[in-house]
This record gives sequence, structure tokens and C-alpha cells, in this order.
Amino acid sequence: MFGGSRWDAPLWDAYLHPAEVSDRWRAQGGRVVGLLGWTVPRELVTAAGMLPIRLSTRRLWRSRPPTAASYVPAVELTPAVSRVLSALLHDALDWLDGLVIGRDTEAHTKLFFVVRELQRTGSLPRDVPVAFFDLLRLPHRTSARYNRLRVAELLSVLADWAGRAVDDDDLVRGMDDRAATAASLRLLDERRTAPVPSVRGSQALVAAHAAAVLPGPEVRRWLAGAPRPRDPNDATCPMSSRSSVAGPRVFVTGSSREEVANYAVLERAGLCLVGEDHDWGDDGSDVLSPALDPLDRVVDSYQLAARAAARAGLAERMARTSARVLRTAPDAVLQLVHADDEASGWELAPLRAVLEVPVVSVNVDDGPAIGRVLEDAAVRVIEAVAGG
Amino acid sequence: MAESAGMRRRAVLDCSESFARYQREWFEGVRARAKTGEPFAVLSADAPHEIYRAMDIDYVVVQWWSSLIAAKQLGPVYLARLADAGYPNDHDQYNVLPLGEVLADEPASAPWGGLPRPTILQTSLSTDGMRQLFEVWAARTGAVFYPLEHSVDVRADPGETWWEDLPHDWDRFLPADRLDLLADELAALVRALEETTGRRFSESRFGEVMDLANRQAEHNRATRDLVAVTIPAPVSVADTMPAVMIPQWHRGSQWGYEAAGRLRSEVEERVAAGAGACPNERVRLMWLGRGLWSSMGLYQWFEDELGAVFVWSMYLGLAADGYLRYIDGRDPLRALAARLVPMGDVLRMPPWSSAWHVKEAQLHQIDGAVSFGEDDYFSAARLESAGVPVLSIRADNVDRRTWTEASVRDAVSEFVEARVEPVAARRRDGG
Repeated sequence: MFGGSRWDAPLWDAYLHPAEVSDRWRAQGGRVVGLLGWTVPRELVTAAGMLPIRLSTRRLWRSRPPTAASYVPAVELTPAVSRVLSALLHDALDWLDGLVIGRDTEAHTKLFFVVRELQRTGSLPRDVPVAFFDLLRLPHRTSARYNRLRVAELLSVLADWAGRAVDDDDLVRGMDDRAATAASLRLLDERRTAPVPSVRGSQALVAAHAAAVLPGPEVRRWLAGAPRPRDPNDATCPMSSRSSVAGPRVFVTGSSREEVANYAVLERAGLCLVGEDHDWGDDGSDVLSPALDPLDRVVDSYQLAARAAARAGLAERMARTSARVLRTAPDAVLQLVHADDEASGWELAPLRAVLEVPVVSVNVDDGPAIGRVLEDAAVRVIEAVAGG
Repeated sequence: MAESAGMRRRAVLDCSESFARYQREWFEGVRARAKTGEPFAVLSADAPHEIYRAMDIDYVVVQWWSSLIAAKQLGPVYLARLADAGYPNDHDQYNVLPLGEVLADEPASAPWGGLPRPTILQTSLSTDGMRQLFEVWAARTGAVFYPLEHSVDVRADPGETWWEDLPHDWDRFLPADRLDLLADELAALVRALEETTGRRFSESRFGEVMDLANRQAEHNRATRDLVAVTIPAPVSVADTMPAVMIPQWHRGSQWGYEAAGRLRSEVEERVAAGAGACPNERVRLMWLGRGLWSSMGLYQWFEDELGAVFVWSMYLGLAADGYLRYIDGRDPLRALAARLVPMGDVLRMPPWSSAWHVKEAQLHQIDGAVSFGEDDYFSAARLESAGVPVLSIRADNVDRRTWTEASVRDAVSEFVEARVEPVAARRRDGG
């Protein structure tokens, strides 16, 4: 389906088979830490000499999860979080040496409470070390000070898991690695957002996934192979391949969109996805701000980011989204909202107020009808663009 | 709290009726002062009410106002107004209803003439969308929004017996960094309120407020203990919910303290007289979750039809166990932080929540529990293990799209008959 000779084939492999990436790393004697969420600073893990792999909740198992892989309190948890719990209960995460749960959403907080209680009562089959990173998000001094304590605490935990001390030089190396990958992603984004893109949205999303899975040098090597923008007659955008005029350029916002297949559906339906601001997308623009203390750089970078709607401020999100929309020049914005997403819905009215392009909002879930829902969403976007 | 529709409750306690009258008169005063330009705050239940009390800044609690909206059967209308404006209405219903009232802009039909336009909004950021909700609310009303962080207890084992440890040992039982954070936020809040309202914060007055709040909690603890050990129960949740919560929203005031004392005295009198909420009490139940404010009489339907009494709710339980923080020479602002930091945790964070629910069930000689709209797997599991059957109902208390009286009656009746009656029979037989 995804081809084996294309520049992005290794990225697809990393996206689809994170456990195999872990196996390769561990075969060289390394340790692997799973990160649940974008709010866990992966550079801390890198600094400790371990490989951080952000968990895609549909790719936790080495093979297809058994249908019985469910758990009674799933009703209390979002489907994505339930999949993590289910994998822990069935010891499917044997490819991890530790797990850090970030406070992206309160569903993650709830998962931490559940896992901690199961560990406390000896109800998990294997005692995977689990830590929780309580990142506060208000742009205040009080939150910043608390976050510094939490980052220092997490670093201490990671050092313990790694069995080695982590000094400032390690931290700087971890941050430099992140910055280098961000630069590669920015270059990829330029090709994706060019007047006639040479990189599809689905490819960019796969690249963002891979950047959250592979070691930095490796993912940068593969990203370097991305094609330069081509002649308009040879563009890869679905509609532009039939016309010298590019098809509807669409910016995706709303709930976390983990599945690249969702993007593929939208692209087949005629949309050219030029950008997104959900937390799986990464255009490399979240750069570390300079600071004397390496930990200060890490805290500022995450506390003040607004990569997802959950727990974010509307003003920060509107500023971020507006800037990205302006830069990617879409014809429309498509907001896809999950039923369990308590935050994204609040952004619709302000988005419509500040953006000059149509904003189409669609409620989706990950059920079997999602393909049809996305196809219908694409039709609505095309109609909205045509209606001007 | 009077219901204009739904199933109306019959008052058993004199005090609950007089509290309701007081609340109405007090609210008229709040409206009048707000009209003259006095500062007026709308606060969530986990906001630092005591600071506003000490600074004589009028405030209304979101959850109380939402319960009033629900009791007046206006929830569906206000939820629809939210949708009309393009805002979500299927999460945080307890918090969004007052914004729906703002959007409806129909004071003639609003409860008690409507909530005055707030000058201050405050909440703790405990859900994913809370910050956005309050930011929209502030933008729509012109209020200033003071959010507070809600930190997480990340310890591997946070202990269980918080109800024993927190009153005196709060600074040892709670993580210092969580206390530091909120205490620092509260200090900043005091300064901000002084500047925006022109009111002065008196450390002496604040100490008195904290002391009154503790003494109010002592009354509530005595009331809870009495209800727990007395069979038949002198009162049910149909009375204790409003009789506890109206004074709770006046926490730290002389009236709040005295009202809690009146409740305690009246319960003591009923116990002395052998008066039960349900003379034919057969089954003792606990209600896990928020109250059915729009149909409080539903609780009494189970008394009348099944002899099943809802003896326990979190409202009196928390009023008894959740608020006591003795200062004993320590910083009262830090003591207030210690009251607020664990507020949501004690209800929803295992093992605190589950251990407490079991403790309370055993103290109250509970035969069965109904969990309404709660995410409490571990509470349910531990209650079941302790011999207390649990019925879980997926619904939202103020969202009438999610439940009806008939659906609750049927589910609870079947549950009592099938699972609770045998437990109650063993208890009655002394087994």
C-alpha cells in the first residue's frame, strides 16, 4: 500500500512498527522509553541515552491485538487511553523499558491513576516502570516554578531508568538533537506548503510520527530524501494532478489525529492537506527558546506550547492556528472533533471569527464508519470552497 | 432548593426550608449590590471562597447556580443556546449552564431574576475544556478571569486515610510542591483582587473566616456521625443535600457556621425522638455522584415504595471530612491551599476515593450503592469486595437528555430487589 522504494518508506515502517524500532535499538544494548503524549519532553530521554518512542495507541502490539484485549473500566477511559491500559494488562508493551504518561489531557491523568492503583495492588502482569509528567500550562511564574520541579523529578527518574547520571552537556545534546530534527521537519513543511506541494499531508504526518519514533540522526537521514517542489504539471496533490490549478488546500485542526489513513482518505477525496495544528502534526516550528539553564529551555518550550486544544488557552491557540493558517494559505479549514474531546469544540466559534476562509467542523469517532464520515467531510469542504 | 417541576421533595427538616428562604433573600441582596457596581464573582466549588469572604466580595458558586438552573428545568434551554452559538454542550454540563444563561439573555425566565453579570470569574483548571469555557464566559460578560492550576498527585503511593490525616497533618500528608504552588497562586490572587476591587485583605479577618469554616465542618462531622449510626436514619439525602450545601456556599461566615449548627441540632432532636426519614426503613443506600437537583423527590419515592433510604451522599460526607484544616500557628493561606489541593482528588483519585467510599459505607451501614454519572471503577470494585453491591448509571445530573425519572426508578428498583435486599436482610438479622 505504501510502497517500498519511495523516500518515505522507512518513515512508514517506523510509524507502523515502533516495536521493531525498539528491538533494533535494544539489540545494541540501549533502553527504550514510551511516551504517551506530546507534553513529555523527549529530549530528556535522549539526554539520558535512551530512545524515546511516542506511543501511537493503535500500534502498541507487535501483532494485531486479540479481540479479548479489553478491560472492564474502559467505559471510564477514552478509547485511545483504554488501548494503552489494555496493552499494559496483556503485557504487550514488553518492548518498553519504561513509560512516561504526559498530562496532555485529563484522560491521561485518569490513566495514570488507574495504572498506579493497579501497580499498587499488584494487578498488572509486569511491573513496567511508569512515571507521570504533570505539566502545567498557564503562562504564569507559579506554574513555571512548579514545572521546573517536575522536569527535574522526571530527569531523575529517567536517569534511574538509564542507570547513569545526566548532566548539562547531555541535556544540551538532547536539545540539539531535537532542534536538528525540527529543522528537517521545517524543510519538509516548506515542500508540503509550496504553491504546488511535492509532499502530501499524509506523508508529512507519517514523517512527524517517525520523528517521534526513530533516533534523530536516522529520521533526519530519511527526511533529507524528500522531493523538492516540482513543476506544477507534475505535482502530487490529488486534484492538481488533473489540473494545473491545485485542488482545495486544507488545514486540519481539532482533535488529535493519530491515524495517517484518515489523511489518506481525505486526500483521495480530493483535498490537499497543507497543514494542521493537532498534536500529531509537527512542522518543526516548536523550537526551543534560548535560556541559560538547559532545563529552563525545556520547561518554557512545553509550558508555552499550544500544540493541542486540551488544557490550552483560547488566545494562545487562536494565535498559533491563525499564524499557521496564514503561512500555509489554505482554501478552507477542516475541524475534526472526537466525541471524547472536551476542548476542541470551544475553538470553532473563535476560529470562524478570526479566519477569512471557510471552517468546516465535523464530529468523528474511530468507528467503522469513519471512512464514510471523512469522505462526506471532504465533500463539505469542497462545497464550502466552491461556495466562496 | 425548590423544584418547579420534576419530582418535588417533601421537607423533613425545618431548617432546610429556612435555609432556602435565607438563600433567596441573600441572593436578592447580591443582585442589588451588583446593580450598584459592587464587585461580584462567580466561583467554582474548588475556588478559594474564603478569600472572597474575607474581602467582602459577593460571590455565587457555579455548581449551586447550575443546580438551580436544573431545578427550574432550564437546563435543556440553556444547553440549546450554547449549541446555537457554536459552543459544545455535551461536556462539563455542570459548568456550562450559566454561560448558556448568558447566551439566552432572557432574565425574565432565568432563575430568581438571573445571575448578575460577573466582574470576576474563577475556577481551577480540572478538565480539558475548563479554561476555554471560562475564557469564553469572561469574553461574553466582560469579567476578568482568574484561573488556578490543578496539580496532580504524582506519588507512587499517596496513602489512603486522608480523612484522618488532613485535618491536623495537612502539611505533612500533602506534597509540599503542590501546596507551594497553590499558596503562591493564592497570594497573587489576593494582590490582584486588592487592585481590581479596591477591597483590602485583612489577615485577621481571614483567620476568623478560616476558623469559622473549621467550626462549620465540625458541626457537619457531628451531623454525619449521627446520621451514620442511627437506624432508622433521621434524615435522607433529600434533606441533607440542600441543608448542607446552602451553608457550604456561605462557608466561613457566621451564618454558615450557625446554619450547620442548626442542622446538627435538628438531627439530634430527631434522633432523640426516634424520628426516621422513612419509618419503614428496610434498605440503606448511598448515592455516589452529583445530586438530582431537578427531581429531589425521586429519592423519597424509593423510601415510599421500597423502604429504601438514601442515607449517604458526598455532600454531607465531604462537608464532614473534606474541609477541616486546623491552622495551629501555621500560615492560614497555606491551610486554605491544603483545603483546595485535594478537593477533586478525594472524590475521583484512587485510592483516596475508593478507600473513603468504603469507609463511609461501613460507617453508615450501607446495603447498596448507586453510582450516578461517576467514573469510579475502583470505588465500585472495593465496595463490591466489601459486600456492598453497586449499580452504575451512565448519565449527567443536570443534563436531562441523559436520564428520566422513570429510567432511574426502574434501574434502582430492580437493583434493590435483586441485589440489595438480601444484603439488607442479613444486616437487619444481625448477620
